[in-house]
Amino acid sequence: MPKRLIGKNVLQAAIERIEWTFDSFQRIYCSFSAGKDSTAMMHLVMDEAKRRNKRIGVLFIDWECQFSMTIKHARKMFDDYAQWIDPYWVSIPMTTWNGCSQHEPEWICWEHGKQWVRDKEDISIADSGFFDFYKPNMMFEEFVPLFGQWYARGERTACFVGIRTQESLNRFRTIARNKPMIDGKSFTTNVIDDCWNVYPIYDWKTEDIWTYAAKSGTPQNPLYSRMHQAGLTIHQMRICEPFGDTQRKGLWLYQVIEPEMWAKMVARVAGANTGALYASESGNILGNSSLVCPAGHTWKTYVKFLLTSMPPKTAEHYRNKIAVYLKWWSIRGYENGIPCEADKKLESLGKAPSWRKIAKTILRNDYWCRWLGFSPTKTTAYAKYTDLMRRRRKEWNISDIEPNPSQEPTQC
Amino acid sequence: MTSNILPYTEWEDWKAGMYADKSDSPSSVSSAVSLLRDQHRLAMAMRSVSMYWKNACNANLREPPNNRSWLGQAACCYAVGVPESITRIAWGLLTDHQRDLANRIADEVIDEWKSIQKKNRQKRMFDA
Repeated sequence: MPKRLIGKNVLQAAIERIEWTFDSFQRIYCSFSAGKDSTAMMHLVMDEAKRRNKRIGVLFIDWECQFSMTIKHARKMFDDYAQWIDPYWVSIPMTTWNGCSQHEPEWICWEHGKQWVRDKEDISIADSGFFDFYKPNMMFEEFVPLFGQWYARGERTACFVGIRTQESLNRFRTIARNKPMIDGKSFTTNVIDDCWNVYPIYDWKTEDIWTYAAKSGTPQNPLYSRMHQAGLTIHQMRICEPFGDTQRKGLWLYQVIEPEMWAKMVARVAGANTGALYASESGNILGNSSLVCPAGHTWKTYVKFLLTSMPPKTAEHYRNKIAVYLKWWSIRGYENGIPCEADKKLESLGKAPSWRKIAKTILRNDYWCRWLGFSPTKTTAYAKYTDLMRRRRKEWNISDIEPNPSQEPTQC
Repeated sequence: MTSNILPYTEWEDWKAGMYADKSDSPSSVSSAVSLLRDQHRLAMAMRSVSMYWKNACNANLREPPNNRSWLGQAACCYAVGVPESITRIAWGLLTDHQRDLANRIADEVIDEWKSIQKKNRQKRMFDA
């Protein structure tokens, strides 16, 4: 989708999108992370809510392991706008990806029986029974659309989301792809039933966010000033849950900015310290950039070695994914097996399979194998999925990945 | 549908250097731009790809939404010898109208290719 200038600045356009949303939807809530983008968006949305004297919902997922400054800022926003919001500060056990450990490839915030790094806020929704759709330890990605459906109560509902297309190609595609939208507004996307995401600041640049912050004088998360002091550029400053495979590169910031919190996080989340130490290293430690096939191994035997060196449960999970990957490619030109290496560009475009790509996926702790083209399996469906995969693997008879200590790994 | 796809080493686009790393020299970008702007030449190049690059088409033309962009990149590689990275730069230099026209030509050629594939499949069924 090419960019077309329409003779308005992005602030004016965002205000108009918000006004249109208030006119067009019966129920409205704001998805808030306390980062710079959602903060700017929430101020604009609240301006309109105040003008219309209308209360809207605000959803904040409290990940437990977060900077204190972010929590304080989120709290201030909730307090400042208390008169116009229905607060949903969610502090219940939720599963997210941990790219720092094969022993705990996922971690659960606010997990029962664990020593949490901080106490829950007094305004928190701490009882998981509050949401009738909640399943124990469900994933964030499952929670969010169901929350929208729950909040909507059958009415047309808008959820303001502060993503910007400048941030990533994925976010650009969220806006630009062909999709169902309301009234031809490309800044809307259907989530579930009659619930719609609305992206009022999708065309803002990072500079626009800070220009708005400076000119409006609205409260901002002070963490960004600390990040600036720590030497980050405005484009490097991100606030999100910390242990994903790209997010783990920011773990060192906890050591610098909030050492007390960091000490608690190391005790709380498996691999946090390893992640902080090695997340920026390229090579085989965490699978960043170029990998080297160790001497005496082919990529295929290296994958086998990696599978035997990890906890059995995690290895079995990867074996299921790899079996599907091999099966998929076996009917697309690779019936006699995939090569150890392929053209790097075609590998990254997903047009050619290789054992190197599988090794990279494992080394990155890419638990859901997104790098191989998979999506996460729903928490509630995982047991069924593993049963199904056990049967399929027998049927497919892919010996390359089955555990068999007596047999030497075959060559590529 | 997928059984006769061959590995990428058999694809004509790969053999012709479509995925090679090449510097974005102004001359190669401008030759790609001029091809993409010229409806007649572009249609010829796309039809040649669909006729002569059988293995590559088999693997890359079946599924939307990427088949259209692949065909444009393959046409530029076939006709003016530029890799896909250059075609992507060239695409950014076209106007919306020029893009619409190029997309329309690609859609036509893909439809033609699909209908030939369908006829061939039916013929094979009868022959069998």
